[in-house]
Amino acid sequence: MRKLLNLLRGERMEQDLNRELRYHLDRRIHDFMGAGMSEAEARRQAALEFGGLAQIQEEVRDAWLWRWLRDLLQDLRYSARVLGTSPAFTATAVISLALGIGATTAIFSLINAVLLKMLPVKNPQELVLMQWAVPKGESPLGRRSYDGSASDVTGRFVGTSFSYQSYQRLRALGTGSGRPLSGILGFTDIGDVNVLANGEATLAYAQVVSANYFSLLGVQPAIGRTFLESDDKRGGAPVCVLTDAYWKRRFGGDRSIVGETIVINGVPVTVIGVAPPKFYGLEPGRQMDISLPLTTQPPIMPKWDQKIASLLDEPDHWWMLMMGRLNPGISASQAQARLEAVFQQSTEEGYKPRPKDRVVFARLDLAAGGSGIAYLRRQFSRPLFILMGMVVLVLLIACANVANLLLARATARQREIGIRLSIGASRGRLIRQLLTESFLLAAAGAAAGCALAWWGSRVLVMLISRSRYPVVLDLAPDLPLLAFAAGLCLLTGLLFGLAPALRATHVDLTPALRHGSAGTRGGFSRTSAGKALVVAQTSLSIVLMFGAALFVRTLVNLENINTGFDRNNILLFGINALQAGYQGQALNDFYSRVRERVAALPGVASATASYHLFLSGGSRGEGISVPGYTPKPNEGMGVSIVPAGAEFFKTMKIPLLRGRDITDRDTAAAPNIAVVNEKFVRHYFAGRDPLGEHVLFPEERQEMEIVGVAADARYDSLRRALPETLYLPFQQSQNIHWMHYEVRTAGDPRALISAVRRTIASMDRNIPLFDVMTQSEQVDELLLNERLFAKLSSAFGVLALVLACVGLYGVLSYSVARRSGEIGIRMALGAQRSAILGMVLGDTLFLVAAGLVLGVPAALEVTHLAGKLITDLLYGLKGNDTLSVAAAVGALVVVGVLAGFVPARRASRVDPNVALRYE
Amino acid sequence: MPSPRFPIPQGTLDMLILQILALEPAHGYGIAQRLQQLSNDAVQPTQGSLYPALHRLEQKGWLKAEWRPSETGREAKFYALTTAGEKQLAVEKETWDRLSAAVSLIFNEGR
Repeated sequence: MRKLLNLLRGERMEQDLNRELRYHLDRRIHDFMGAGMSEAEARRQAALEFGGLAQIQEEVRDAWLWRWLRDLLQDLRYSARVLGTSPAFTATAVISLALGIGATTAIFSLINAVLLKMLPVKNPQELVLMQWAVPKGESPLGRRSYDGSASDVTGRFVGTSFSYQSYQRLRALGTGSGRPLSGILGFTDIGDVNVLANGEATLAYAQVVSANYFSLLGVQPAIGRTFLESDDKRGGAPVCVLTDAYWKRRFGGDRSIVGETIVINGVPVTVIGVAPPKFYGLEPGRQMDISLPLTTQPPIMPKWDQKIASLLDEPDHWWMLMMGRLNPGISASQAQARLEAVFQQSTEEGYKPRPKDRVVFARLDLAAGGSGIAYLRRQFSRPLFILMGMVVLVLLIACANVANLLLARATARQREIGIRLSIGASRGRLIRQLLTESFLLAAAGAAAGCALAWWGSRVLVMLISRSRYPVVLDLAPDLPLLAFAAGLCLLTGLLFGLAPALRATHVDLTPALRHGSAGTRGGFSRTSAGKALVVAQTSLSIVLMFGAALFVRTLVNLENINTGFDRNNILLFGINALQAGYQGQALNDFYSRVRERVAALPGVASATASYHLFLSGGSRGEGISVPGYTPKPNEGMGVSIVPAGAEFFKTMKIPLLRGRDITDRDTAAAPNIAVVNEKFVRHYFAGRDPLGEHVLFPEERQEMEIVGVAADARYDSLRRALPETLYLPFQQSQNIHWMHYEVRTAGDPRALISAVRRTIASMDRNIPLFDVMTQSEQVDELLLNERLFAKLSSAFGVLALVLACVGLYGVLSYSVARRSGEIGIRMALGAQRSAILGMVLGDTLFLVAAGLVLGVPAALEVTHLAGKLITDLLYGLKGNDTLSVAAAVGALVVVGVLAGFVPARRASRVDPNVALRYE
Repeated sequence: MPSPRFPIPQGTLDMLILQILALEPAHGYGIAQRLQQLSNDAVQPTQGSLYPALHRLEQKGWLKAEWRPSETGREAKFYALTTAGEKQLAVEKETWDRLSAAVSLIFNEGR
């Protein structure tokens, strides 16, 4: 647009216009002189005829550029100049805003990446996620195993996994032209796999997918090709597609890997392609490395679950997730209605009825699939919203600070504003100019804040990543994020700028022009506005500090839980020999040998094994039958099972109350034994001696003799109630795939890591180690969320305190300065310095008290309203914890005294002579 | 004694400027003189209305401007019609003709 170009040429065009008008004027002067006037007379006449030069210039300028734009630019230039003359004020305001806006934008960028962003696939809005639903408490017909089900808000039980048979049926009858869907794809994680390539064995996270996975999603390979239908045939040569990040990490971005064969869990697989960067699969946050066709599941994961070799042939095992693409013009609910019958029929086929099964048909439920599967969403949506709430409070406090600063400056500028109003500036124009100043501040704060947010969001993602499951998110700024930042900027500018602008232009002209200082009325209301703001800041700070205290106390409570075992000096690691080809007894023997070899290393006090790591959240359950114990009606007879290695209780230092530890002699050939915990005994053997008794796993038909009783120990979760636990030798347990080891060391556990690696490598080169860490580090990871919350809420709390302190200080300084006359009189009449000090400090504490009176009930109300949202995150205390309230109040009082101290001292130092004379 | 100036609507002044420049390029002073001469002093635009009009027309792309030596030897800013300006002039002339014909009809009818 021409007009915008005129912006750049502004200076030149002004000069041109002046020249042009000058020419015309001179010609008229010449004309008048020619008509007989004197030069002076001619000049006067010509000038009169010309009219107002300024007026003409303004009208011409209106032709060059829209009036509003010129006004805006003028305002911006003026504001920039004004802000530049008071660098301390500008810096303080911009920094406060940068912190507030930056923190808010950082949290929003995470919310955007986890909850809102669409997958980087073609037309994500056409994708639907297939789910099924049954009324609460039921289990759908034909379903035996589970994967990822949860209750939804309406009390239904919702699941996302389906059988292979359902997938085939829905695909055959539900897709194509004239049908609701254009295609259905299936996929599921198969967890870590052993990848042997270039002579090195490492672990990778893999998924199996249907052949049309990439093509239906519209994802083009970066190198090579993706799957065709011919790749997904049973007994065919297995192929795989790598993700971009894995390809770069593991193979150094070497293009020649495409076409090569790697060995996955002992099966040779050809790499046929690499996915484009940014495509991580359908679960945002989950780091996927390798994709394989569905039919590779049997060879690669032969012992998936219990005795099943191939999931493809088990209609009552529901393990696949499915997504469909809607055909044009079809809505999700229409598709759902039309596919329901097909789905329900597919669950009936191949269903093996068992006694006690209720006939419940699952209903089909299609949910929007464009933003992927909810793995991260479930875990993080609540914490993210809480963090968002906290960060908005910080932003409000920052805005209050800036508003206060602006009010102070407005008082200083009364004279200037008074003059401008009296020579005819409209109040609206002045307000516009003051608002431009505010927006300029907001823009500067937002720009710095966005840089802060960029850095902060990445740090946050790093903080929530666990070593085993790093979180990968696409944090690149997109339209919603930029719109949010821009909107936030405008909103904050308006928030802190409007009131001061309105108040500043509401000037009583005469006193303003005469004194240059505020008239009584304006001054009074300025102070009370400032005080009101500070009280508001204090209340908000109390809310934040209260939250911080709650989370910090939760963390302390959790860290101090008695876990029942000694977690110092334990080194942990895991191996998976099943993937390296060991099976059956050879597998068990290998795991036992590893334990013996590691236990024999120098520096090792003892070593043992367990199927699940203690405090990793993993556990196993089994139904049990105890002779002499009749279950109550509706009592589920289930216990937690810990397959463990020899010397388990000795290594973990769990006291054995009766009987003996697990030993090397408890092999598969030896009689089945078990060690139970105290809770088990109290529940099932109240009063009786359990040693020598036999318990039974009805499903497995395994009978064990109880040979020991161990003290209660928490082994799967810190928060959940301790379950009845049964420990058995892993040699006598079913379905052992991997094994974890606990190594009690004499000194620093980390010093033994390389020795352990060498030992395993000497036994078998193709078995990589995973989960290598110390037990203390493991506990730290378990408490990752709690630590994060404690850190962040404390940081926000401290930030809020700092901002409130600055605000308090500002208001008090101003108040003292204004009252210097009054103070002088008091001192002249005999008041001591200490009395003046006390008076100002009293004012401070009054403000703080006002803030507390508002803030404490507000804080308690907030936690009450948040209800379950907060209490789920806390531990060992309730939402109205008095100790936390006391801590928050104490912190604020200290801050108040600190803030008021300097102004109080200044007040006490007032020289009565000077003060009185000045007044 | 200058004759009484009657105020010219902005749109009409634009059209007259285009017409003057259709004959030959001129600078602001020259345009004012011409308008005065050709209308027998009836149309005497003030500088306050002339220059905004000239710049407006230039911004719309109907005039182009160039600094050239004038008849006095001093450099002045000369305005000339562009092709778009010529087309615009034709359109405005036609509209004016139709408008004035209609007005005359109504006045005659009222008689």
